[in-house]
Amino acid sequence: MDHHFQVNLKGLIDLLSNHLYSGPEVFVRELLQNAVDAIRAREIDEAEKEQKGYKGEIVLELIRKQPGKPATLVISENGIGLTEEEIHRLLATIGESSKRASKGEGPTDFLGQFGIGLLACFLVTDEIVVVTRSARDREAPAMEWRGRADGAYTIKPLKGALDAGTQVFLTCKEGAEEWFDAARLEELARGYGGLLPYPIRLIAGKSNRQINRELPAWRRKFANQAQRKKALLELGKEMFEQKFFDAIPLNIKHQDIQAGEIDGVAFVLDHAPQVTSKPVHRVYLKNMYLTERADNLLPPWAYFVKLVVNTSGLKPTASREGFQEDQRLLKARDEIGACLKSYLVDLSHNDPEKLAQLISLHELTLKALAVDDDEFYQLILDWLPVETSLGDMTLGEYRQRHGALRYSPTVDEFRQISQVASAQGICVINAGYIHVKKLMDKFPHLIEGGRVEQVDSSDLTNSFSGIPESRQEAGNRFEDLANKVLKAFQCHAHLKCFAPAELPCLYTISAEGLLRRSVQQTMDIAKPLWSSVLGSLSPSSGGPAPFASLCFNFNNPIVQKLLESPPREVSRRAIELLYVQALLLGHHPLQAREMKLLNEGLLGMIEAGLVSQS
Amino acid sequence: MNRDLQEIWDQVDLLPLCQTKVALIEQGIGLADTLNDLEHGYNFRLELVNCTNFTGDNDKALVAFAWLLAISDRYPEKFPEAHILWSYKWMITNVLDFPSISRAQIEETMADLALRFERQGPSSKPILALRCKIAREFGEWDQVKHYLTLWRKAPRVGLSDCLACDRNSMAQMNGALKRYKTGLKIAEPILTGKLSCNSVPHNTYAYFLEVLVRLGRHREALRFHELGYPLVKDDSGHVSDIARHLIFLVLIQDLAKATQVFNRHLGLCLASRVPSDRFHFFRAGVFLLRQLAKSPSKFGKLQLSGRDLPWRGEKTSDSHAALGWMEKEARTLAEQFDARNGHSRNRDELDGLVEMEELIRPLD
Repeated sequence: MDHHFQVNLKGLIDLLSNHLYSGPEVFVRELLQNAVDAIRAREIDEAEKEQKGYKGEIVLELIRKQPGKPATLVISENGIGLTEEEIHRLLATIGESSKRASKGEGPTDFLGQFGIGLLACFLVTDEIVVVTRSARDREAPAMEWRGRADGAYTIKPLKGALDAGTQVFLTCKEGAEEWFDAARLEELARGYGGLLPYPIRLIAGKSNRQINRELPAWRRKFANQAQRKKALLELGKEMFEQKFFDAIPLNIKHQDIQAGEIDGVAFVLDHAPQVTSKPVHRVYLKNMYLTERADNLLPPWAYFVKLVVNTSGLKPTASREGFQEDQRLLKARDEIGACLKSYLVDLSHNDPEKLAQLISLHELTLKALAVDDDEFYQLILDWLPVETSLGDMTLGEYRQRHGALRYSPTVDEFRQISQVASAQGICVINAGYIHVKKLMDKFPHLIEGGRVEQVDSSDLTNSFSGIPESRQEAGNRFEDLANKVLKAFQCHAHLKCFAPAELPCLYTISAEGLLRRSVQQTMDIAKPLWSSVLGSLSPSSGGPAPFASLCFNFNNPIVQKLLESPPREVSRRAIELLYVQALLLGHHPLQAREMKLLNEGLLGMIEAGLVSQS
Repeated sequence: MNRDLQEIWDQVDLLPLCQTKVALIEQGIGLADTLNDLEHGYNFRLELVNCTNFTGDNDKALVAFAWLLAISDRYPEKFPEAHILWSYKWMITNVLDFPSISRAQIEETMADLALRFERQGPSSKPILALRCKIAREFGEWDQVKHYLTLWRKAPRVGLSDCLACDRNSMAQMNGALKRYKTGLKIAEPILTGKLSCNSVPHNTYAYFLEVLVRLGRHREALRFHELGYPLVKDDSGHVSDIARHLIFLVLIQDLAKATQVFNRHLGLCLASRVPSDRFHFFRAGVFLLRQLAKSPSKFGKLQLSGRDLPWRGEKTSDSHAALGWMEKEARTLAEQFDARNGHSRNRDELDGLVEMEELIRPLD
């Protein structure tokens, strides 16, 4: 004998309310969706029968019979309706019916979701009454189905003639009064169903009006572009309660029927958003509001817009509050990205002033897009602002003044050389900020004759001029002494002339050198196991070769005095202290032995000073 | 908190996972160390370890982690060991990426991890998963099967990888044992979008590309490529996955797109300090360049000019110089890994490119 699973309806409702749906308000969406599906099913049926003149309608009526008594909400539609057999079938097969619907079968699409949708109503009521008469089978009587939250239900035929369609009666349960308020209902109905092509009428007390009278702004016709833009920006202000910089209409028709159409508006934010922020959107599926999350509908660089968008072909997730990540979604994302890109390209041709304003607001977005898209890169490159050792400027200005792009790959390296580079009048771009290095990498490949040069700190110091011939001997003696002193710190010393004269020396270290410094610092405190692992990390990391350099400045008065003095203990101390000073100026944390140098050096100099005084 | 430190911390919080974030965190570490601020030095390093999981700076992760462990051992009440044990798992996979780190060091590190994990309570599942990965690295296939069985059966604990990662790893372990259909079955919830995390299905899609081609399921593989490549293309922590996509594009003879992918990621991979990532990308590059050598000008321009290229050649034969250099580099890396691991798998994978050419055919 076959047994059947008993569904614990109360448990199922708890599951839906606590884990699937975002809140009780979704019952309005589910009822509207049922109504829309029923009307669509009837449209198909009328067409098959070659009957014309059918117009679907939805009515929400809020009835308060007596003060203090619970309100009743009735949602009525003149859709396909249900026969007795269909009522039994949809209730007996909740779950299986959604499988049939997912195969896209026509009339059963409606049945597929009806049962699940009704269950959502138990979030606000303890009893649902459905009164329905089939439009397909005119001989079938009207039926009443009465279901309770504990799983019990009755079903009976009704006497009397009723128009084809379905009415759902919900009586407010305790604690759900919020959802049976006229203003709240109107807000929810307009929010979920505002785009629906069928009139939705709300009747509450003496009020009786259609709440989705107007077409959304992007579907209306206007006399000219300016009026259209104005209407779109007003829509944006109304929907998101904020002003926008601009509005980009989206109207994408796919060649592939499965992917469907996309229409709506992308609103350009009038402020720079955080790169990791997740803005709120309004996304509709087949004209029914679905979700405020659209991060997977937008390309990763497009965090500068908010979307109001309707799609017709994407697959929703189980809770119908998002889209499944599949190839259709990928296609939709690409299309939306192409629309946004096309808008930016148009601006660059037709309204460069506006583009400049947009760049000042959304620099990171445009840099991200330029990294992603070669064509856009070529178009927009000269507009993009960068930080340089000679101040902020656009890449266009840089190219005009300096030709090849010279850049420092990290903020650290830029900081090391920026002051000295600017003193020599050398303009170096700080490519340590997000996206900039990738923009540099693409430059020679995408720009005719474009050249880039990565400026290492050693490149800079190599460009300094040598010391005068007459001081070469003293200079060599000094370099020898300095290299002896600094050998233990794997730092190479040399002597050059550079500006500014106030700077006695410049400590420079490559990215690899910085890593080796941090390895050494950590090896000092790590236990033997991890110390050995770090020591093995790179075959060259343990070697004695220098990985940093200290360039002494011949133009500096203290360095001059050091050159003039014979090598003595105080010269050694001075070199050590200048080394430590250079580390501190470069914001490099001191290792234990460098700290020791500082302490001993200072004390030694103090002592030497006191001795020479006495 | 010092104002400059606070400012850096606030900016770090706002950045996505990228090299700029790493650089800023390092700045924060430097400042915290200069100020002798142990707590913020700790927090910045913890953030660095998390971040480098996705930026491919595996060596920096090891350095930061060693510091965290040392401080935690020195001041256990203030910096409890439990806070960093999750990251320790990643360090085991990181040490495998460096052939200069010996087998003995890897095994000792694993033993240290196991001891610390057991201190927190029963932890067999995550430990078995790591032992399985180490056994795979050393080509000890009986041990792989043994640990895989135990790993599957062990109960989940707090330190287990997330469901998506665990399933992904198990699926790929079956793939490593050439149990392709089992691997695909295990990966099914991931591949159908039901299970995901920050690294899954990125890695899963990439792993099964070649598998599906070998099974003759090219269209399915194409879908994985179309879904998977956008997930990894901006991420320097997914170089091995990018290499797999590159190989796939060559296998379906889409050399134009393969060239684009190669150009896009070449700079990143040349600069990578992670030997295993370099090996995978150079191997894929060799596969592509050998095909391009057969029809030099047909498939779009290789972007090989620039200052930082490690090879030199005549301008017209840059691609030949690149191929020669990449073959040599891949071979050296393969030899280093094989010497550490005690087998010839990496050299075989490199040599196996010749056999793989027989699989190349355009999609129908």
